[in-house]
Amino acid sequence: MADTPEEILKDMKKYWRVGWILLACTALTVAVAKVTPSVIIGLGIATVKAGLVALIFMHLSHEKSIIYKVLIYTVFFAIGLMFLTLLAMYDPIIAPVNRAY
Amino acid sequence: MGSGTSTAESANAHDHDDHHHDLPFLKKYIFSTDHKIIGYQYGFTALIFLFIGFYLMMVMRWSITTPDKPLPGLLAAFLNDSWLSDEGRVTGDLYNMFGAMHGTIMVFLGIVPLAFGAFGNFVTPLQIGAPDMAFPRLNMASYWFYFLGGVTMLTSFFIPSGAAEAGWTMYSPIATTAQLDEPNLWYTGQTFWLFGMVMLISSSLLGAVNFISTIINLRCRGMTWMRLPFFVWAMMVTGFLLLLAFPPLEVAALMQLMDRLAGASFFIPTGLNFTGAGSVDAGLLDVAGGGSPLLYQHLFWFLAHPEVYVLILPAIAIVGEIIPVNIRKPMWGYKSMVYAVMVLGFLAFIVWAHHMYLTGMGNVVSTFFQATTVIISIPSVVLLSCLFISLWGGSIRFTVPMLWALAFLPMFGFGGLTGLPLAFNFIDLHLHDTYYVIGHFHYIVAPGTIFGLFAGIYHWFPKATGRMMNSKLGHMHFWPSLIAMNGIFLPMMIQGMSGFHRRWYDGGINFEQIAGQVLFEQDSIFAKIFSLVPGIESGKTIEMIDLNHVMTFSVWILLIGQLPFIFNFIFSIFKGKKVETDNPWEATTIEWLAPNKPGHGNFLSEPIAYRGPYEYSVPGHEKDFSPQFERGPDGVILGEEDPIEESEGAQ
Amino acid sequence: MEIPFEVKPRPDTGLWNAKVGIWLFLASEVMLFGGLFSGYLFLRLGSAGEADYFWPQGVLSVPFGFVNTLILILSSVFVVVAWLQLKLRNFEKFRFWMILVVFCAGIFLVNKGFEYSAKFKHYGIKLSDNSIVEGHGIDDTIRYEGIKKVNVDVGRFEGEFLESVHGDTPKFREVMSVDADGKSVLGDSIELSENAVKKIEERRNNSLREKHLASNEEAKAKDSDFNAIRWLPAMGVKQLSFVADKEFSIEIKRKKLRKSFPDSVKFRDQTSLKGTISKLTPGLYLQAVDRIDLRATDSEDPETSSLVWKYLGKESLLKGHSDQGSSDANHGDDKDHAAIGYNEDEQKVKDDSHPHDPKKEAAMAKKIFLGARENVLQEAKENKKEADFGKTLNHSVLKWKDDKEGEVLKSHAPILVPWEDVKLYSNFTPKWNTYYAIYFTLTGLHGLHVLLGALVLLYFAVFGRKLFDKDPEHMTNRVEVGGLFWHFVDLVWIFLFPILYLM
Ligand code: HEM
Ligand SMILES: [Cu+2]
Repeated sequence: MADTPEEILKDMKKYWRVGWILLACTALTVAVAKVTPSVIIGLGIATVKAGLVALIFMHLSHEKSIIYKVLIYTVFFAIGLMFLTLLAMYDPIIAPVNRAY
Repeated sequence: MGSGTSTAESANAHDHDDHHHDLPFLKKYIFSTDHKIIGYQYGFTALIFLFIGFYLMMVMRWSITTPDKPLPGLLAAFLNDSWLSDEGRVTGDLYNMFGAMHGTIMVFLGIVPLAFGAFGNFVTPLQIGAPDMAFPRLNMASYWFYFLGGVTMLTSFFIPSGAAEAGWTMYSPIATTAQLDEPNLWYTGQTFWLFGMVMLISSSLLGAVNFISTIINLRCRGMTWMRLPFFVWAMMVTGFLLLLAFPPLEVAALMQLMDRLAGASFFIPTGLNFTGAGSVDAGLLDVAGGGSPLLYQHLFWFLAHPEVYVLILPAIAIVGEIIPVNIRKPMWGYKSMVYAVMVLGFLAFIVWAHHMYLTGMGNVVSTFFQATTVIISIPSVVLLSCLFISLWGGSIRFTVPMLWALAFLPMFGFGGLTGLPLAFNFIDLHLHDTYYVIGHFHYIVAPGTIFGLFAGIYHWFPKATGRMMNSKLGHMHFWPSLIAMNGIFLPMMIQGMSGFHRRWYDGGINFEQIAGQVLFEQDSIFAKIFSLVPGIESGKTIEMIDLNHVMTFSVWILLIGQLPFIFNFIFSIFKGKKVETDNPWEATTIEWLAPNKPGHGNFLSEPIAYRGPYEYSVPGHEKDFSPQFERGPDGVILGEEDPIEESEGAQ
Repeated sequence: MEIPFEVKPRPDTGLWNAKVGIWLFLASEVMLFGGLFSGYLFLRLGSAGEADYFWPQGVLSVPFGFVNTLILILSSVFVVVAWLQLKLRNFEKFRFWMILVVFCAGIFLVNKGFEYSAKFKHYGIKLSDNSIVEGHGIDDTIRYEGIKKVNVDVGRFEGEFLESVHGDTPKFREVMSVDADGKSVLGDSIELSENAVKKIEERRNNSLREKHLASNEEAKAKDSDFNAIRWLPAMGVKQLSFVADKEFSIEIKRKKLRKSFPDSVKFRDQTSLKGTISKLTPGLYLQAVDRIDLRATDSEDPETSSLVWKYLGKESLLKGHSDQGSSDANHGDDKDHAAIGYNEDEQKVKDDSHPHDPKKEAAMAKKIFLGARENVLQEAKENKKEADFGKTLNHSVLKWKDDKEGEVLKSHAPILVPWEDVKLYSNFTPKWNTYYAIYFTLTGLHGLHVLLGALVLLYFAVFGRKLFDKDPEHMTNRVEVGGLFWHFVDLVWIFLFPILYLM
């Protein structure tokens, strides 16, 4: 990671640049939503933004391996958590979509 | 230093130069940041909660066995009289309340704090040679959150509504609609339970963060991953289970709070017609609906299955430490155990829906969870097998901790094996919510985990106090406990298979078809034996329901069996036999390097790990144990692989 | 004693303690918000198959959400800048940027406050045929008349109903017992209060207890082996009944009641009264309807035969009704209604002279609604597609441009829904539907994180100097940890914005 003053200043520039990109992305989401309120596009842009925040601002892009290990484990289960819905509502054999209770 | 056999003198000397005597009492014992003191705090509090939970259970058992008799004065003495029916009997409401709180207190306020909070806190830093936890103040906060959570739960008994009464699982919509007839919903046991739970969860999360950070970052020199004692590995996995499984429960608790207090309907389906038993408020609920009770169950069991491993792993870990010490040979399959425990930690997250087979969630989903559940028994069996095989060819010392550890093995095995049938959804249709399930997990938690914890108490007592616990009293504690535990839980299996439901507060007396099934014919030899149990008339046919007397009788024996322990524990703290050395069991792990009653900072000199954790009877060594902290003829700090040493060289 | 690696990273893991700690903590936070997102998904997808529930879309103000997103992103940049300034060992600049971050957090929370309070003032009513109207200015005053008998739950009585008695509080007589003919034997006339009930309870319990003990003695006299039965509270009184000296009436906000039926009413403390609903308060009144949603309506032809059209344009009979806030504030005024009385003619006169004639407004609202529907049909015809009534049946009736006549139509109609046709009503809080439930839970929890994070960062900015002077690296580490948390909070919002505001 950057430790000399020059490098730090370079980093500072990078952070500002990313900040502007994020702001632009936000405007883009709103604009796109006006045209077509598409879930996929909306979440897609959000994921890109979240990725930028995590990788650059939270400097995950050059973090130690232990942290990656912890996070991969976590993200795996967090994604699993999203499937709760499916588990509670769908039975692919009996009926494609069961009511939620 | 490098010697595990420091003399009594040095131990005594240390007693005197314990430089923290000058701390004021409050700072030293109450708001301490020392991991050992916090461990003691957890331990004492948890033991008290265990006894409270035990008491609740005795009241319930009275109701099950003798639903027609008034509660005896001994048990009623602690009760608010207004909870009893007008004949002085236990009411269904009271039974529900005690049932729910028994589960909650035992799991969240008893076992987990004792196993993870107390043993984890006391032993982990010592075993990895750290001066304390990574975040001592967080550690203190975590204890106080736990304490507050416990106080909240206990206070809920004394408010007009009484404590929560919807089972320890707090399923919505029962939990959401329970006690709705109170004027102020903030002031009900159900709501207190949720708030208490949020605090307990916060406590566990802080604890988990702290444990994992400590293990990752505070291992002493030479303590590489594969030199970690098994206990530490298990604590790390337990930490991860808590860290990742508890937040979904927190979500569930918050949502249920919103449902109760803000009228939301996260877990309330459209058009729920509420006929709450005996409630004056029957009729449609005044809520929007559109939620799903299943969502609650998923969120709950997403936590609660990992939670059951939180209950058992520390016990396996303790037993895993005690067995090598007492067989004087290395643990068989250390690496397999480490990998097994990691696999277990992973699989524990994807089996939760085996608690929900009867919710009609669909065949494919059931089949998936059935498969994962069967698979998860593999690492469990690996753990158990390694421990069993370790015994082979060992020169076993039958010390008191070893007795408990040895009893743990078959008891845990029995509990685990009885879980297997439950894993198959077609069998579970029959067994779900019967006493069979209760028997299954109690075999794991009671004669399993609790035996493991007792083993741990007897094992580390000398390190914590500098004194031994009395072994005669220890035997007087062990044997009645072992027999009584089986007397309680074995009949549950039989009753459960014949269909006894877990929530019958009258023990099934009104279900003649089930209760009246004949177990032993009149005059048979077994009938004669059974008639020895108080409460069963002699010369009658023994029916299923008569097993209730056996269980309740065993409960009283178990209670009496704990008296030697209580006496022994308190007596030995002050008057027990002093231990001569810092390593009375001649063990190999680093906690035995620290002086007895370790002071703040734990070690007198920097601990270094020169070898693996269980090097007993190493050929060519003069002693039959080669401690991790002794260089000996062949100890290494793991030269090339030891980055600490390398980087120190670089500095 | 010193904990190793508090400041310097441990060589083999490359991390100092707090860094490990914060990432672990964030991992658990991921699971926390993950659980909530999963709940969101569940409720939203679950509502898709329902015939009676439609996920509200576009009900939050996008500009508000947009600005808040910008603010959080900016604050995220400020945090890293502040941290870099510390790395450059420049405390004053660090402090400047950090305070800016806290300032951003403040604006964010204030914005949120506005958004919340707008929701609190907006009401929805679900009618018995599942049609929905939304609008402002609720009046849920309900009055019961001709009450004589009061039933009290002894354990829970808090004297709630006494506060809503309309006019003078009457005296009450306790029902001592009921004689053979079913007539009640009454006690003395008393002033009813929590204390009075306590006293009666005590008296009754004492006499019950004495009876019980006497019967114990009796049994013992007959059979010396008899074990006396202990007196237990469960043997005491549970319910008490009172009869008022004269008929009285109560007036109260419906939402404060536990249950209300045409002929009886029950308070939160389980006190129940028998009486009839006054003609003055026949139903729930909403002053200005701004949206009508007929998608879930049961009737065959919702556009014309829904209950909404039946009740739209009816005025409340209570004078001085206004929006919730002011009628709450002048609670004293409510007492005047009795003096005004119920007078249909007077009401009629008033209606005619009203600047906004409610009947006309209602007709206008219907015209807007049907006009918009016509547009959809038209559009479908042009595109040769099936008409999607999702839009019309869920329609704002505030304002609409009629293309044919080129004029802008506006409506401002009141509605009065009879009590028996009110299925559910609430302001836009978690109670109204699961969307608001998850919205408030998610944003509330997120707001809490913003608040706590801002407090910690503020602490660094204000009190950080001492540690900075002593050990700048330690201080830098702390700020890094605080920053990581802050970024995480930002990251959560990045997802919240589209799923709550845009989609
Ligand atoms: C060896 C593998 C295990 C298997 C295959 C297994 C399987 C099951 C299944 C299928 C159930 C649900 C039964 C039902 O509700 O109908 C269950 C319940 C339960 N198990 Fe296990 N189990 C195992 C190990 C454990 C362990 C190690 C614990 C630790 C304490 C445990 C604690 C529990 C508890 C507490 C319940 C009951 C929860 C409740 O409904 O209140 N189980 N088990
Ligand atoms: Cu399970």
